[in-house]
Amino acid sequence: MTASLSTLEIARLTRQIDLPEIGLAGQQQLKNATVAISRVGGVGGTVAAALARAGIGHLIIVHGGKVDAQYLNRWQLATAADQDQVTVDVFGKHLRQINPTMQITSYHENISPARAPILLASADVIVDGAPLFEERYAINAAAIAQRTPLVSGAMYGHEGYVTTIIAGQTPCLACLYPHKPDYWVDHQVFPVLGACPGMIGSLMAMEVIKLIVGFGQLLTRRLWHMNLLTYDMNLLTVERNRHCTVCATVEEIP
Amino acid sequence: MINIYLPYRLGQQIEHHDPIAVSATTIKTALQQLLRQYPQLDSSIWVDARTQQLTGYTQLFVNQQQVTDLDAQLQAGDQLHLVQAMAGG
Ligand SMILES: [Zn+2]
Repeated sequence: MTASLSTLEIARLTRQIDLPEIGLAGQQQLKNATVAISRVGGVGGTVAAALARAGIGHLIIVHGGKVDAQYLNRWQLATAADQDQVTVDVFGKHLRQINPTMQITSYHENISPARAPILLASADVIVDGAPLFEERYAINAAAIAQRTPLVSGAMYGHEGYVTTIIAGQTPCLACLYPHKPDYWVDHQVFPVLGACPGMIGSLMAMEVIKLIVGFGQLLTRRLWHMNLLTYDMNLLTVERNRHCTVCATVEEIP
Repeated sequence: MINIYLPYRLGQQIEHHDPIAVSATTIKTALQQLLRQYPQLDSSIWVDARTQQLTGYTQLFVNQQQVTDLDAQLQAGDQLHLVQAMAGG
C-alpha cells in the first residue's frame, strides 16, 4: 500500500506533521503501515483509537464476543448504545468515525496458538492487550517466529507495564514470565478503573508510532512500570533468558 | 535498610501499599524478612517455601536493574521491586 496522503488527511494531521520527528515523510510511513491489535478493550481499544487518530493506514483488529455492560467503564470504542452488539462491528463503526480513510480488517475471534500466525502474518507491528495469558503467550510465540515487533502492555488494578519485544534483541514474554499466575483463571480476575488501561494504551500507541516512523528511545530491553496508587514509576531494565522455551534459539542481534 | 516495593495486588493482600523497609544483605534475606512480616504472601513469591524458588511470574529489580540471582548482594538504601506478570486489558 503506497497511496499518498490526501489534502483532507494532511489537514486533519497537520499538527503532528509539524513535529520534526514525524513530518510528511513520517506521516506517509504511518499511512503505509499495518498494525494488528489483539483484543481491542481497555488497553487495545485505547491503542486502536490513538492510531486511528494518528493516521495509521491499516488496522487488523482481533476480538471475539459481544459488548457487555461491564466493559463500558474502560472501552474507548464502545458506548452504552452498543451493548450486546458484535465487538468488532462496534469497534469498526467508531474507528471509521475517527478516521474514515483507514483500512480495517476485523476478525471476530480471540487469538489462539493455531490462528495467531495466520491473523498476525501481515502486520508491521503487533499490539497485545489480551486479558488472558494463553492468548498473550500465543501472540508472543507468533511475533518471535515471524520476527515482527510486539508492543505488549498489561495492567492489574492501579498497576501496569509496557515493553517492546523484538526477536533476538529483547527478552520475550516467556523470558520475563515463563509461567502465568495461578489466580489468573479468566478474563474477569482483574479489577480496573478506565484511566489505568487508558494510560497503558496511550503509551503503547506512542511506542507503535516510534517503531514505525523510527524516532526516539524505544522500550526495548526495558519495562516501563507504573503504580497509579503510589505514583511509583519505573523504567526497569530487562534481559533475555538463555533458557527461554520460545526465543533461546534466536540469534542475538546487537 | 532496603525498601521493598510490592505489586499492587500483594499490597492489597496485606493492606499496605507503601514500600516495606527490611534489614538484609542479599535479595534472599530481604525476601525472607518480608515474608516473616507477611507470611500470607509466601505462595505468591515462592513456588515452594522450603526450596525458596521464585514463582515463574515474578521478576526482581534492584535499583531498576533486573536481577535473577537471589544471592546477589544488597547495599543499604537499595530499592527492591517485585513486578509480577499481569494480563489485564
Ligand atoms: Zn524468550
